[in-house]
Amino acid sequence: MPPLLISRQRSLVLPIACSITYNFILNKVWNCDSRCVVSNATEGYMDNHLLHNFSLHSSYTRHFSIVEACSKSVCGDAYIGIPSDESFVKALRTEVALIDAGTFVESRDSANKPILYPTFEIVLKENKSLWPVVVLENQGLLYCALPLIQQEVVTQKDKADITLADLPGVSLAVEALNGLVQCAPLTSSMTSLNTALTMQVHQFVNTCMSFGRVTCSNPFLVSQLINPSGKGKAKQPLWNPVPHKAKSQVIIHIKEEVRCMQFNHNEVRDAMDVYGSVTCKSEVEGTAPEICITLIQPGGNDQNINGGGLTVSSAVSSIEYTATTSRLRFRPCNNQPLCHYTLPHLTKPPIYGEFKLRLNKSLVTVYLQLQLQAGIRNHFQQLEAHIPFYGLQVSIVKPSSSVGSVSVQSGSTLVWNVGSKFPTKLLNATLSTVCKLRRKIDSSAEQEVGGKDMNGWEQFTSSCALVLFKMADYTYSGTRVDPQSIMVSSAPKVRCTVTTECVSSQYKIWNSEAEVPSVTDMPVQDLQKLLIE
Amino acid sequence: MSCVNRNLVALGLGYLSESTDFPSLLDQLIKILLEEKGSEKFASKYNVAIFIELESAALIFSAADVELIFVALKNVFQECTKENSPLLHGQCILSMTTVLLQAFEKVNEEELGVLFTEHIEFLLGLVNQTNNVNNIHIRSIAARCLTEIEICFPQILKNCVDSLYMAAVVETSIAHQCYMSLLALVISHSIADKINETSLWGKYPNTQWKSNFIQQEGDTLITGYTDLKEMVSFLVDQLPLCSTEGVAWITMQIIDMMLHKPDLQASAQVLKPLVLHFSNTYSTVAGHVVFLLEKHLGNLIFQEKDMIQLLQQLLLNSSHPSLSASTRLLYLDWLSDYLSRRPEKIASIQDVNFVLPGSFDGPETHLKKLKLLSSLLKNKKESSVPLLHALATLQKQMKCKSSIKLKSALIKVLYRYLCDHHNVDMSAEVPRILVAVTKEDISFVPFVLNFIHCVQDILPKSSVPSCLLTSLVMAFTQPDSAATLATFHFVLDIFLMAVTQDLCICQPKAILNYLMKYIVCEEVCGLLSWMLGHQILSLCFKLMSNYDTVVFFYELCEVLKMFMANSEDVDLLDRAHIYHSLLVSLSNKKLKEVFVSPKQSIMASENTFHSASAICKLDEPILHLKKERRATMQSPEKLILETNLDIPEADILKLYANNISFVAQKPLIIKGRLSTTSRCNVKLQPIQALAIFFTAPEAWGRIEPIMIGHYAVKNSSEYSESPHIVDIECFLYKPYPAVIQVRADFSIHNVCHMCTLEPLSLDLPDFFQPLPVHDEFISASVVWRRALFHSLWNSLEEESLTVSNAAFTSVCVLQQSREDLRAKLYEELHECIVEENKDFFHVGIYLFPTSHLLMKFLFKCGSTLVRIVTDDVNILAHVNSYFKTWL
Repeated sequence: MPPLLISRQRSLVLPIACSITYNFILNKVWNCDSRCVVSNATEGYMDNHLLHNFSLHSSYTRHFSIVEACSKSVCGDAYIGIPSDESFVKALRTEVALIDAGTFVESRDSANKPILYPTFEIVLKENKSLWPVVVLENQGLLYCALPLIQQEVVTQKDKADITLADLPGVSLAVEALNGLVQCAPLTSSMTSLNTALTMQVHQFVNTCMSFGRVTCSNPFLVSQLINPSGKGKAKQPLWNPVPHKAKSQVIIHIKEEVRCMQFNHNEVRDAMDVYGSVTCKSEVEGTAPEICITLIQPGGNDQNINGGGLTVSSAVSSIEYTATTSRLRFRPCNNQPLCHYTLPHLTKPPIYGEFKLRLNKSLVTVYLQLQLQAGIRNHFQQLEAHIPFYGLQVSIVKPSSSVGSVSVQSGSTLVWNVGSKFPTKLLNATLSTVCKLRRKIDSSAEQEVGGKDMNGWEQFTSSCALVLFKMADYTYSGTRVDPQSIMVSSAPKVRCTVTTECVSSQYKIWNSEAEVPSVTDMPVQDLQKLLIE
Repeated sequence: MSCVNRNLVALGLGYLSESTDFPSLLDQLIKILLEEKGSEKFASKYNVAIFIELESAALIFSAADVELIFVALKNVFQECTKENSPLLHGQCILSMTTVLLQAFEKVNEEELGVLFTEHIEFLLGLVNQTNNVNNIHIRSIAARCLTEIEICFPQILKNCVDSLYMAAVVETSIAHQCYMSLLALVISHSIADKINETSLWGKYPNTQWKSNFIQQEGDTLITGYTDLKEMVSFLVDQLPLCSTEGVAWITMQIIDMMLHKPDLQASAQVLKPLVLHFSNTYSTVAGHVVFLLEKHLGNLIFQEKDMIQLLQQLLLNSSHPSLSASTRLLYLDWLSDYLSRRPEKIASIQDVNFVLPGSFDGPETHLKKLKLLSSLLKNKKESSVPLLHALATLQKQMKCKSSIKLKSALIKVLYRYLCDHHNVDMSAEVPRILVAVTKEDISFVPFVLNFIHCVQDILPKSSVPSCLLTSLVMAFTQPDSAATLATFHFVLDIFLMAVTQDLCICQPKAILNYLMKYIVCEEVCGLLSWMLGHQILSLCFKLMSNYDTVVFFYELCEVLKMFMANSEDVDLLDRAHIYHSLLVSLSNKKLKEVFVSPKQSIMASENTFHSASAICKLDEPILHLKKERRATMQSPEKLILETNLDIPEADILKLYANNISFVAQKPLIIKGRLSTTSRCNVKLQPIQALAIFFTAPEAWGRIEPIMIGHYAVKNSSEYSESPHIVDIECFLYKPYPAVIQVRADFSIHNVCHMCTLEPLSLDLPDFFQPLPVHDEFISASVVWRRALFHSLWNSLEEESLTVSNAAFTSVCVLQQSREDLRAKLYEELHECIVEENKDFFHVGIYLFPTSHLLMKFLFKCGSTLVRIVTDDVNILAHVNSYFKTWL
């Protein structure tokens, strides 16, 4: 029986990728695959590759020399050293299809390649490969870790029989990378870590991952772990290194997101998800305090009863469900989501949209109508519609909108700023505009679209409008936390604050006059029947 | 060094990167560590300590280096005690431990023994200071260092287990988690029957430590197995105080202990609270703990409702939109593992939508979900239709967006489907889908071809590859094929793969007809790239070598002929020529002999491999090519006197100008004679596939290669073989003398030979041609030539008086007797004489491709005056040389 736990990381790379040059890659893909217009890839993973241009240099790399020695000992002749950052990043880019994106690469695309995401096999020179490289994407950046695993798995040539369930190192790597994401909150516009941020990451890695072994993945505890309190008689939990002395305070924030795909197509059903997360920032007295909150959701959220989906932090010790409430008991877990919820019974989108895009040589006619559903609060912090024309230059010929203003952002995105609310009576707004398009050849030269250059251009009609909205102190689902229900075990009186927000996320309205990337109905009943059999 | 420099820069120590080598860099680092204390030095020292930890492998060369670093770091540790800088303290201990452990890999262990013992005692001393509020972080780090040492040297701390337990019990600060982690590992190692040996195992001589933390042999307390069990209970009780990662580490150690010692499993229920606590979590670490407990101790801890709860949680987390894709994909993997181990739980999936790909899912999730679905329905009847139906979203996304990831996902899913459900329905549907997608998007071809390879490997008896390939060939040989010239290479890949199968799949006639009609036709052939042209010819080659050419002889001939007629690339023309010559001159059997190299068995010779057949280069030529003498007319043909042409002079020239533009496009044919030389000792062996290549000066023009399928040497004993007369086809720019390099490639006994022949020298007379006759006047050629001569003469003479440099005149005197000269003219220029009498000769010579040499020989008193008119001034110089040969 091999040791159960080999949970050390051979290497951490943070982040691999930097800077979005949105149009560049799209342009590149446009050139390679003339059919590519808009990424309808919607999970925030590697398949958002259209969005990023990756630098060849990683911003931060950390190898653990002792773990490397251990890996040599474990793997023997099968040991593969970690290559230079440049080679690694290059190989990774190939593996996640950021380069060679238009061509077949056998090591990546072969039909019999084992499917072991989120781990990747990075093929290096001389037919050598590194596996399992755990890759996590956040804000357009890739974070990687290479866990140490058992010899049997490393040397196993046919990886088809491997399951990640046997590799705790992979789970720890995901957790460690999540911690790194929080520790160095980079955005894709940052190209490298500055010295202060580097030191911050070093402190986190040395304190919480010394020798590559993850002991705590919450970077916000680092300073407290270095200078903890130790005067109490009772044992101090690691998750609360310094007990709070001042007045207790609990701040709950609910962030709800609505993602949607509207097709306005008779044969295709729209798709929508309403989901959110609850975070709790607490400063409460006591050595090992416990907090109780009641999450109220009008539709209920117990997965055993109504198919709801509440998944909680490991800090939550118990949940009690009623028809419409979930009472959570938890220890403080600042800056980390207390729970995530999803509400599958909500299927009506808050804003209905109709989008029509027609192309006539270099002129494009855009029609977009947005209709707020009755009963939804008509007050927005942000309400915009973006119509991107990737790889093209767009200029407005004849703007016409019932409300708000129309402009062009970054040269290729038509932006309609509706304002802070819909017209009160009708609750709808319309954009009807004509734009002129030019094809970008490169940054220095532009060419008008027309005549023979129109070849393949009609694919742009298969595009969508993105609706961006943000509402403060509101949740579409009605999810809330009653401040009166918040209780702290160690403090009778607590100051409680609850805030909410509702934002759109991938809220897409597809051109109703073109092909849409969805299908009528999946064979749900047939499959369900087969499963039960 | 570049990596080292990068680390230096990242740590704000860039100024040290000027150090040229590691010893001097180490000196600099030590210097910084030993500098006086001060707050401004704190950051530098901390960074240096980190750097030493990072680059310890590069910095250590000897035990002295280790000692130096060790002393310096320890000095920093002791010096800054009063500054209360736990960060630097902790880093110093980390770096010291790393350096020591690293040193065992590089330095003789005997030299490190004392230092290592001291260090362990030092660390144990720190851990022993329980509840010291001033050094909590340092003690935590010390415990982690000891854990690392225990991992590298298993059971090294076996004797400390009791003291460690006491320390863990007593400690109230957060350091207790590190104490507990260390304790869990030491207990796990202590009760293991067999430990996994590490690379450092056995390198450290287990000396007697002086620390009072260690249980000495004389002590009465000897920890027993029962005590160890109690310690395990203690660890479980304390888990709520640990971080999730700490809980995971300790729990996994306990699971490991329980697996090693089955009697410990009796108390497995103590882990049940963990299951209840973590069963609703999204954390991957906590989730994995529950998953491992179910996997290894499931029957002891899990009840039915726990199993269902775990399944529900796996389903929820694998599709929860709030979670990151990495987390969801990981949960999908676990779900797949769980259901493969517990297939009876498949029926408990209440909502199949969890495992069905949705509109928001990307390629990776699509792929994983469909793979899972395929495995869930593995042995279920009539599962093919809904499975294929479930592909619809992926296919639709591909229609809207051509993405390599979607293509990759689709091909992998179909491969999985076929492997899991190799039935009639699937075998029919998978090729249909693949052909449909390929027709829609031709860049999908490499994926399909790879799919065929993979299926052939795993399901050798499957009909899917042949069915798929046949359908693809059929689809792409239709007139409505979506292929364009830019994408034709994909189609060729299909054809090339089909050729390696059998005749039914390959359908050579269809392929060749398609090529004839759309690819090697006049409009397209010239546009083919060099690579594409060669690929097409490779296809022809494979057809010739793999199949009986009788089946498609006509079509193949036509393709090669069209290639020869329409291609402009010399390489391609050569190759097409060779194939065509071989195809028309050799029987099917001989063609195979020429093409298919004899199979060499590795087993033929026991210990050696056969050398690969290579080209044999001959030092001496065995062939000789020389110009065939022009046919000489001993008695001049009587010129028929005809009446003058009734055409104005201007019209003659106009007609001639039109005519010459056609004539100039044809090659100039020079007859050559090919023979073997005395060096040839293969008289009885036929030379096959003979190709003679000419290399002419670029400015001169080119000569077409000569292809001879079979060159038989006859009458070898007498050495009087019959001559092989060959046509040397010249496409020259200017009719100037030139020396042409000649090379021959040929096959004897299926071995390719190569030799350089004697150069071929072409002189001015070799290019002499009579003035071309217009087709309309072919029956009155003499009169036409005469009229043309005069028209040209007048025109060129007039032209020579202008400044256009389009014509030139010259005069020379030949001192030969009239009779000698007359004989010479008949011998050398008989065909070009246009008019003659006893006093003069008019000679009109056409020089390929567009030049003329007109001469009027006037006999006078023992000498001959020659007036010359030409449209190429360089010709005059060569004419002079030519006349000298008459002397």
